[in-house]
Amino acid sequence: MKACSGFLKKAASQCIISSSVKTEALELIEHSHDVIVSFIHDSLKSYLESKGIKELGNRDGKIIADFFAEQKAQLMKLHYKRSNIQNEILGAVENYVASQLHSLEDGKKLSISIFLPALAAELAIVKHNMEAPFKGGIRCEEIQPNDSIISAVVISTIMRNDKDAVHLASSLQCQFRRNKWVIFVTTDQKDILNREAELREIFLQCSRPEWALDYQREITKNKAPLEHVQDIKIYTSKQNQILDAIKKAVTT
Amino acid sequence: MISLSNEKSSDNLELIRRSIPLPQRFEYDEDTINKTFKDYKTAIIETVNENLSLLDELPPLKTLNIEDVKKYLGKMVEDDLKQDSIFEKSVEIERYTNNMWKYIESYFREIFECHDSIRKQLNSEIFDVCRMFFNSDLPMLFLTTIEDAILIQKDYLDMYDKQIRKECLELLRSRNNRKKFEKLCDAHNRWIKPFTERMDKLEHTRIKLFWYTDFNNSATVDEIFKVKSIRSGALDMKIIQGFIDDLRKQFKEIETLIAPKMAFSLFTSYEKNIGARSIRKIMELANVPEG
Repeated sequence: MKACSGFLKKAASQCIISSSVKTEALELIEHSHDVIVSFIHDSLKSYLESKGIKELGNRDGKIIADFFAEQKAQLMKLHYKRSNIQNEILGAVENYVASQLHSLEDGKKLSISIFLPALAAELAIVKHNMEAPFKGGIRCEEIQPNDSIISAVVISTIMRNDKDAVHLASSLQCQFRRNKWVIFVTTDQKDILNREAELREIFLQCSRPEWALDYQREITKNKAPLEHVQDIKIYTSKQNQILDAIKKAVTT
Repeated sequence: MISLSNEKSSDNLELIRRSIPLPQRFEYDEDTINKTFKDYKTAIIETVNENLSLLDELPPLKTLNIEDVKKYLGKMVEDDLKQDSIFEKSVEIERYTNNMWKYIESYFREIFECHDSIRKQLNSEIFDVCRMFFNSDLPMLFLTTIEDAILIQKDYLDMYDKQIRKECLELLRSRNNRKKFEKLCDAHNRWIKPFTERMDKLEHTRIKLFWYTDFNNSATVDEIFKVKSIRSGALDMKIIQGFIDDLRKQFKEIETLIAPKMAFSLFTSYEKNIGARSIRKIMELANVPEG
């Protein structure tokens, strides 16, 4: 995300967030925040109360460690095998609680009725700051990608994630509607950047934030998207499919 | 940690304090000053009355007699305001805003510091609602809606400070041009008007939700604002939902107004902030496609 911050510092005015990216990002931030707060509110609070623990200091990490060990053991029993996602979520919450506990001053003890809500209060501000770029920091554009473009993206790139397919289709539709090259900026190596060649074949350039401006400089040396595709003599089957879909979307 | 470092064990005292920021007035003539200038005492009486009027807007309380609450709340608000340094400062600032021509330096010397104090107070109010939520069986939406309503007030202060920093230079440059100075004050008041009205409405709805929840979980007036167990069974959840819906609607409206004026804020550094890193980690996990 350091790369993302650096890139946005330089190029925020040139960036657009599609409505689908905005919606997904805000939903994910909210969901993740709620997962952590619910866990602290329900499980951790009940555990501390059941053990009669009324206050915590930075030397009481073992109490919290025991709680998380117990939670993980229960999770394993429940699923009979290691549930990676649940375990990792638990790990992220554990990490947060442990760091905040260790950040308390030496010798200072806090009542759990202060410590737990303070964790949630801190997280509310973090969540708000994470939402900020999606809520006004960067220009958002309402794009409803045509179904045929989404299908063409899924088939051409074997995209497993439906939401990613919508984001990529939004970029393609925006690119051809405005007849201006778009660079799809992402840090998602596994699902998107690893398919760079397939995406380029269907006329969408993706890039890590570090290289986005270099790609933009390079791609804008070409003719504008509509003129560029007209100059191509022979299309591949994937290109045919995406161009048919785009034609439908742009003309409707 | 903001809340942990200012260890708080006091009550959850959520009140209407002052509409901040206030409109700037170029200069009031003598009569108008006598008519509208509010000294500290008058400001307290007005604010107490504003709180009591808000109480009248609450849906009927289940356990407490409204007249007892009024008496108790009036006294409590008055005592609290007398000890509230931010309130005192806001009265002083209002004096400056009423005569920008004369007090421009004083206004800009005090306003930013006052806003910083208000930000701290808002942080403390976030903690209050978290503490109420942690002592309750209320839904998550109760917590997040109030948090959002408080945090947008902080955004507004940020945006306001940014705007008046720009205006400050223009006002100072126009010190020798009364007409231009007056026009600048008018322009300022024009852009803040839609915000002030909405921010006040949002704050009132948020406080009503808090009061409704707190008062209906108090057996006697002495228990109001005290830290206690909150049970949703003591509340009409349809009323709570109505408040939440109102608050979300008002919040969205303000968010849309503020967004174009917000400075671009960088992504929170996930490397340094442990809370952001944890949220980010869970976001990545939640984003793994099924199957």
